[in-house]
Amino acid sequence: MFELKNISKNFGPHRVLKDISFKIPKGKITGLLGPNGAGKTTTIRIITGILAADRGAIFFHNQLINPLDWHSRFQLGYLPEDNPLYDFLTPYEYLQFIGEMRQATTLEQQIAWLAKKLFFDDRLHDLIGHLSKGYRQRVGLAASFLGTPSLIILDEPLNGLDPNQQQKVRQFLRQSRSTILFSSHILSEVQAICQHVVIIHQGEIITAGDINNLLQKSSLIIQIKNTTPSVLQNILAKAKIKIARQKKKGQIFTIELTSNQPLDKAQLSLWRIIRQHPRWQVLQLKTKHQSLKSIFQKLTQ
Amino acid sequence: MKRFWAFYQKEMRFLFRQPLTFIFLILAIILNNWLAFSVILVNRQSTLQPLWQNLPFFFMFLAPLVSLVLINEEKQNNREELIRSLPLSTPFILANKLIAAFSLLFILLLASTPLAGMLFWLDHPDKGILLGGYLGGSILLLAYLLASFFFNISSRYNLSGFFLGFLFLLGDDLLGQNFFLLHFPQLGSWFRYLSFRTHYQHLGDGFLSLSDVIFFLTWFIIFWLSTIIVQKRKRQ
Repeated sequence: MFELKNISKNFGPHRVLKDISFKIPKGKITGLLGPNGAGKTTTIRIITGILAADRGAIFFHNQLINPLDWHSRFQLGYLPEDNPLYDFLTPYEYLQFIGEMRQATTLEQQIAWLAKKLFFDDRLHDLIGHLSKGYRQRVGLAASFLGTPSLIILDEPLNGLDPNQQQKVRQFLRQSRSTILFSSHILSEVQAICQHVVIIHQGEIITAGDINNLLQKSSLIIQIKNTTPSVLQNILAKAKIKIARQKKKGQIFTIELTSNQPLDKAQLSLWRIIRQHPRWQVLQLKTKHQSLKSIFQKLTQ
Repeated sequence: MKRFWAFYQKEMRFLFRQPLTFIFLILAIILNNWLAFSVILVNRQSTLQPLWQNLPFFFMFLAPLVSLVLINEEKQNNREELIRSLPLSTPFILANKLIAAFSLLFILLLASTPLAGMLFWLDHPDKGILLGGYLGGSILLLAYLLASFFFNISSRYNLSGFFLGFLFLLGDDLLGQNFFLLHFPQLGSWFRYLSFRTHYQHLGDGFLSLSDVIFFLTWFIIFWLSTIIVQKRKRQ
């Protein structure tokens, strides 16, 4: 397992990362999400040793590692966002080059296997400069898996792939059982591929954990007539129930609630509150299941 | 060693895919050989001295140019992130690039061997002096490349690295030129010692002294270590 502890990074007066900590569980795909400028790329660059952190530490199996030390980078596979390849090499030569640099054993077999799995074995000996974007992306992806690194960092790995190719790559990633940090803007992809998710916003980790747990955090929508909004707001705040959205139209007050505790508990608390106010008339009560997209939007707005 | 060879091969393939590499190299070979050939014919002496005289001028332009291309290769093509994420040390990357640059410009020296062959065909030139000239040329090339690497790595802008390297080498060459030294009679011997050309000429004349060895070794170490330190600092 990889663990980042209290990582901070400043660029001049601008604090890009503010003491971020999160774990990348072994054998799982962890999605790294965040709006543009949130600090995703800086985080990735610190893990890969491209940038030095101002503060903080990175642990691998509870042992402190220094990504700036080139030896520690044997454990890393990386596909940068713009997937820079050497156009004057063939995919075979490029993979051989990357494999040699990572001192990969059984390199020939690994190249053949990856080329077949990522279905570019028919173009293995053509110049990379002559390949389409989809092929190039798959070559870059294959390179990040060479040498069976302990952590594979993929920055927008599905860029330039058509829906069929995306499906196959998704399947490949899931079956690989590698420890992957997957950064993407396509939230539906993250939801489909990742088992774990880290959401970063303005240099801070907003949420991190199992994606299923996150998705179970639904919200509750309730419409109440004849209530006094300020009174209700105070009561809910005391019960630690967070109002995500609210709207008042005439006598009808609509609120959307989120809670850190399971929603059935929040619902129960809410019923208790309502029962103490006989004048309040509940018009509607429904549970709204959230997608990763809506969770992401709520957390990063 | 396998890794070193793989990286070196990649650098050489990059260099030879640039049309400009061929243009500059072929022009330099033609010009260098022609200038030397014409002087040899006029002087009717079985020596490659005219070639050794011109060589520093070719190297002081080509060494910063090749260094500029190799140092900025990854940066210009967005491959810097990829290279930096690989388990490669800074000296490993720089040594590979240096050897690739050396191999490319060594072709200029190799291309002069037909002239040496011609001397053997026409006369009986001193083999020691000829070998000394080739050894001196190789050492001078390495020294120029190390200096050029340092200036290219230290500069924020690509072209300024090239110009700084070129100006430094030109300035250093002037220090060893008699027309310059005449203006500084008191400091002349110091200036002469600091010039690469002085020590290179000793080798070209077939002499190898401890002072020359110490001079070149000192410069090699200073430039190599400075380049690595600057590169590592830049990264942090």
